[in-house]
Amino acid sequence: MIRARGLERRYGAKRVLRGVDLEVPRGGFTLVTGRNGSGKTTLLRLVAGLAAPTGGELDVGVERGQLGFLAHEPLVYRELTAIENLRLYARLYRVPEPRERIGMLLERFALWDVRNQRAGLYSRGMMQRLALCRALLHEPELLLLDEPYSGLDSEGAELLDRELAERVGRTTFLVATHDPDRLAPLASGALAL
Amino acid sequence: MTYAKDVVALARKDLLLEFRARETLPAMLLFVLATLVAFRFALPADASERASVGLLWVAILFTALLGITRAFIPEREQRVLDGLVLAPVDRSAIWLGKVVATLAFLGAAELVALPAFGLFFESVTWSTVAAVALADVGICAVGAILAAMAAAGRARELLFPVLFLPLSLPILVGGVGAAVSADPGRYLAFLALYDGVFAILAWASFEYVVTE
Amino acid sequence: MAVAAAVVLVAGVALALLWAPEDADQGPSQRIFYLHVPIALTAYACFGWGAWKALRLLWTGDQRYDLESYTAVHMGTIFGTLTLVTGSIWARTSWGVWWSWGERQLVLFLILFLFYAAYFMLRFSLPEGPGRARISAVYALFGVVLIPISFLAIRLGEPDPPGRIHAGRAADVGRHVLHVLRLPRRHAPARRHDVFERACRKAPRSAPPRPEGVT
Repeated sequence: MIRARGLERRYGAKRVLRGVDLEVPRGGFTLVTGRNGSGKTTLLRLVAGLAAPTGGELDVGVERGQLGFLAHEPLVYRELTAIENLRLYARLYRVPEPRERIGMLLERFALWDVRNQRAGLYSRGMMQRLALCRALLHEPELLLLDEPYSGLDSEGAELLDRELAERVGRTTFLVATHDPDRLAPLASGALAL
Repeated sequence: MTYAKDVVALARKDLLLEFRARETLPAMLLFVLATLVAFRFALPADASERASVGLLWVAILFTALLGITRAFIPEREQRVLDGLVLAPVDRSAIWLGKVVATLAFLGAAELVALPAFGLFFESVTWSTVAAVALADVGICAVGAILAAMAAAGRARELLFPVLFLPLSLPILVGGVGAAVSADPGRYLAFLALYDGVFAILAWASFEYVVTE
Repeated sequence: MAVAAAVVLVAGVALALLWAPEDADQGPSQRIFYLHVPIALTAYACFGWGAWKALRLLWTGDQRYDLESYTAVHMGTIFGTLTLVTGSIWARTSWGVWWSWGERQLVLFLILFLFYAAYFMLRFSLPEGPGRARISAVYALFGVVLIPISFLAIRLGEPDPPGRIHAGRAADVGRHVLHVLRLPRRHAPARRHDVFERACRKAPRSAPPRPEGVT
């Protein structure tokens, strides 16, 4: 589903990624590890299509509508409520039966009670859970997760574990993480930057 | 049809954001009033009618500047624009949604500015109103894409006026001409031409401004 | 190639300034006009070329077009600035003022100068990469569309002076062409102007004795 050869991304004189080869088959679960600044986020952004490679080849076999991205930032409007944010994204991703889907996700991530609060008032953990709702809203075939556990307390982490476990096999994963041990049981591949 | 729905959803989002924050629109309203008053003091007592109409247009342009500079701020903060660009939405719909929302703000500001102008200076003719309406489309169409360009880099609030003013000079000519000329038709037609040409260009090229 | 270009350039400037016959009315300093027109045309060509390369960049995604487009716009801006300078000198020699709002070319280039100066500010504010290339390209396209639109606006914005016989671009170009064509007629004395030329040169300036913008 994802194939990269000699992938390179420069920012001016600085080369953040050089000669990266990657192959993630459909249904695969690949971990991307590396120190801070090793280019994990950049790699994910390239695969997501938010940035273009400056060298090498990249082939991602899904359309935008089938791709879910949990970025470093939550990508939600702080002045809107959780419901309003998700409604907008549901519209943009053409999610069928949006109300039910939004309600279900908010419940699964324990955000139902705060659904009418402005996202700007959320704690770090709540924000991360909202971002996960956003990424999973349209049931994507390919999920790109950038440090998904960051900011989550133990409860939140358990919720995430459950969601990931449910999707392994049906969904393709590319996950950047500092803490590979937690996800090692699910992983079928790894890339060290 | 889905395109139109996307545009509506995006424009609604911007209007909702402004309704919550209540920052930009009040500032625009106050600014345009204050500018008109400042112009009154700036003009000598025997200034001609032509001069004051010109200043109305300058006031409108600068008020638009104030409003549009902030157009992509919500998306710029925390890279929310990435979320929109990731979606399977035509990127030009993002532009069009911004244009619709900005038109609403600018129109609201003009609902205050034009009567104020009529009060402080001289009455507003139909040709002025028509010119303002046409010019608004051009201002918002061009402003929306330039705001996205400026937002992509550093010093965005400084950069946007510099980008916007040269492109707005033809609008100034068209607008003032329509207001003072005995034959406003030519100027209105010119404004329509400006709108058509630049709106199409902006619509077609917005994709390339927000993607790599 | 570069040497040949340099030689031709120097020869052209020398011809313009030294060999061309003196203008009957204005004297030797009028010759700046022989530089002004080609410089203006070159500026247009550069901007057009920059826009073409910009389009190629957006169409193919090949990054080398970014450098080509940027270079063309850069050259165009230099020539545009020179157009303003030579035009200003010409205005000084023709009418005794350093600027004239009645001169369409000058006003057009002033607007373009503002626009393309902003191009560099925009470019400078963006981090290097494919994103900057795309945004610069779109801006360059806006520029090339601005040229005819601004020209129309300037034309519209002029009040029609009563004595003008030939309004419009054709007359401007005609005047320019006539000036250039007078080059071979070395012995055309002051008195022997043809009527058309006299009409073109005298009429627009006889109604208001001085161009607008000068009190």
